[in-house]
Amino acid sequence: MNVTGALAYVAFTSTKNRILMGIRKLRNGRYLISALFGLAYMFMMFSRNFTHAGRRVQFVYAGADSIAVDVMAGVIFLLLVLVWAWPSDDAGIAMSEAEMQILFSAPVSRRDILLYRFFRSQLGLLISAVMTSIFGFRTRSFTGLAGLWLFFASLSMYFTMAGQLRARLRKIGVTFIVRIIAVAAIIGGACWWAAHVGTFQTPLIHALLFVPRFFALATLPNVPLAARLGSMAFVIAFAVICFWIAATVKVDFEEGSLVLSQKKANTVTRQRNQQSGQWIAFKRLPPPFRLGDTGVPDIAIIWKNLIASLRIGMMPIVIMVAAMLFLIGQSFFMLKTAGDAIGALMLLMCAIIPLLSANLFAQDLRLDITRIEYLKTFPMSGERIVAAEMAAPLIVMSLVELLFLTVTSIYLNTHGDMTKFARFATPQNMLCVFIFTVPICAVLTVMRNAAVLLFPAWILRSKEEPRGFVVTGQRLVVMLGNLIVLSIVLIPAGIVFAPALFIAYRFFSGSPAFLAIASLPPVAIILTEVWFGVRMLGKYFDEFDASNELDRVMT
Amino acid sequence: MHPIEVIKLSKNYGDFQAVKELSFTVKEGEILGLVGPNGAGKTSTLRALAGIHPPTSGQIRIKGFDIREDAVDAKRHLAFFPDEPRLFDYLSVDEHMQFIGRLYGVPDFRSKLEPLLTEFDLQDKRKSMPAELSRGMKQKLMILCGFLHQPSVMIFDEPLTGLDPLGIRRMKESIARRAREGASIILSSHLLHLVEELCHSVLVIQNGTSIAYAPIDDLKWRIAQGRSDVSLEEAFLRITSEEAAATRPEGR
Repeated sequence: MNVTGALAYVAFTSTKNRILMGIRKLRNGRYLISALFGLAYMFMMFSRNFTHAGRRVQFVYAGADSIAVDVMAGVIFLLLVLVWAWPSDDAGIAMSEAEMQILFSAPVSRRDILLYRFFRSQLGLLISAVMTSIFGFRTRSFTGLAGLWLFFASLSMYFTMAGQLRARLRKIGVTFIVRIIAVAAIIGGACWWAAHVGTFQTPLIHALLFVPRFFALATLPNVPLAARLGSMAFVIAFAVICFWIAATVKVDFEEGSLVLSQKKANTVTRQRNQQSGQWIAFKRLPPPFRLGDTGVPDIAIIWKNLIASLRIGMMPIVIMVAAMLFLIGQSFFMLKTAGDAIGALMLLMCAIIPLLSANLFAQDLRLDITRIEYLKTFPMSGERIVAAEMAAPLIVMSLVELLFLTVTSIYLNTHGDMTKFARFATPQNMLCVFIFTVPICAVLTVMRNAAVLLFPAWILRSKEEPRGFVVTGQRLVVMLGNLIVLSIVLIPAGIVFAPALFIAYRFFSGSPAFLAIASLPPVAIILTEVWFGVRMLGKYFDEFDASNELDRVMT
Repeated sequence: MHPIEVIKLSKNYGDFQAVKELSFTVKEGEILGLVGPNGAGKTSTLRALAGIHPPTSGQIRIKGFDIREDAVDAKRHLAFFPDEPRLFDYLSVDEHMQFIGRLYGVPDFRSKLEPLLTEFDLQDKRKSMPAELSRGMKQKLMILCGFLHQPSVMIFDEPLTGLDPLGIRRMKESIARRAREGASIILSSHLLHLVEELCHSVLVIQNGTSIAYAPIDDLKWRIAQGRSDVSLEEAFLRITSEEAAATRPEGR
């Protein structure tokens, strides 16, 4: 087997193995359920798109010179030209760390590496083509899909070639500034000319759109088969030429590839950390209090997670407070008629903060799940570890909600003349809301931590499967599960609240504490449920086997 | 009663049996080397000992406390040093120390911290976050966290990974000194010269089963058959060879 064959084999088998690994995981019931949910969701989305396709304006082919083809060709032209204005000129080829370690030290040429990358990217490009075909063009045409796929593959090859040529241009003295001026001149000149003559149908524009027009005809729906096939043949030829140029142009690409790949890896890590709530935004913020040497160890975990909340979760707090201050600030400058809107917005923020913050402040087991083996060596029972882990986000959530309730209450009561919502902001009502907020936040925190312990592999999605219908299904299952559990948890409290309200009315009617007293029995029920949930999770934590759960066998 | 007692420990992952009825003890002041080829079941054994994952069957006692029934008491005497340091990314070196000090209730831990920081060359890194530390520094911090509460039972999984030559020397001295002070230590490593240098006895496992368990000198003598120039490495290679496996009785 020659080098190209070996690289093609690696690209093919790694893709095949990824798919097979995904299929093998379906033997686990939890993955199977999420896959079924994901597939059902995808099917619904696809069928909805096809069913409603007729209601949208469809592209109608009216010849290779039609305005639709010209517009599409114009967009593609912009893409093809703008790539020359890209600042990077180090000829880097983005690859994973493993790929670089193996390929750069192996006796392979740039041509082989480019071919490898080409094969390696095809599955992703095919999925993009399918998605664009269904959701963008709403067509089931096989040739249309093939045309899109070819278009993406060819465009990818063109971008690679452009990257190599930019480096070559730098070598011969054509700098970024020169390139950007040239690109601006081409685009500006073309736009000026098109505006000047009022049509695309001029020899100059025709010449500029010569190549893009083939791309457009290969991708657009409802293009006659002969025109489509002819354009696809042109697109293939174009890709082959781009490949040949990229493989033969004389530039050093190794160092650039290292830099590019490192940048890409850093970006992906940062994005993942931001998405999973692990990005440390303020790493120099001091701890909230001094931790004593001795005392209950639970405080140590709460202290640790409060630091995490400050350093990771401070940004959402800043944003929320800024939004609140903005609303208050507006009230001084706006007309009286806007007072209602501001009042409603502030009350709305108070209502949604508990729901939002359960996701925003995830400095508990959700943050520490990757270190669960370390947590398990702590000299504490699982129940205490779980409770301490959840305490910090609960404290933060409660403080944020208390702050917002207080500010809202003060604002509405001091601007009573501006908004009719002031009557909702009595201290009694606000106290009642706060009494309910803490246990509801606790329920939401327990539920989210339960999801982490019960489905750790879902939360710790491997790098190979950041997308896909299984992950979509997992999110749906978790969301649905959260809704069901929340409803079930709140039912007993709801049942108790009605008689509690009646009894409190009977004995404490007229007292400012009437509502707060009526809230206590349902709150006690919710807190009992939370306690029960923590106990269950603690037991589960004690028996938790990271090796089995995380699909790892550590021998 | 020995500080570490393992009786018929088995660990399964689904249908795969990683550890099969392993039994051994570690006395006070003893360092036991746990060696075996890749995939032999060493890490599974160590993780079960540290209470990270529950054994499928068998019993583990740390200072007389069952790791499942009295896990908290057992873990209070224990420190586990994994090969891959998993630190809290959002805590500085100093904050890691404060956290561990409180977690294990170490009175006046600050006075104990200074010599440890000096011992592991981390004095200048007190304010650093884990992301700012090298792999070796992270390993040192993890070891420091383990030593802080002065555990009487220590479990090391490849303790020298990522350490520089000075770090390796200090680490070896640390382990030996703690054993002299009475700690019971299990050390798993592929570095057989390290095991030979530090350990009093050795447990060789292969495919999850104990194939040799003896004081190092006894094991070498048995393998050497009268010769005096046999190293632990040679002994290890001989007893884990295919020929040796073929002549070994089932279950040994």
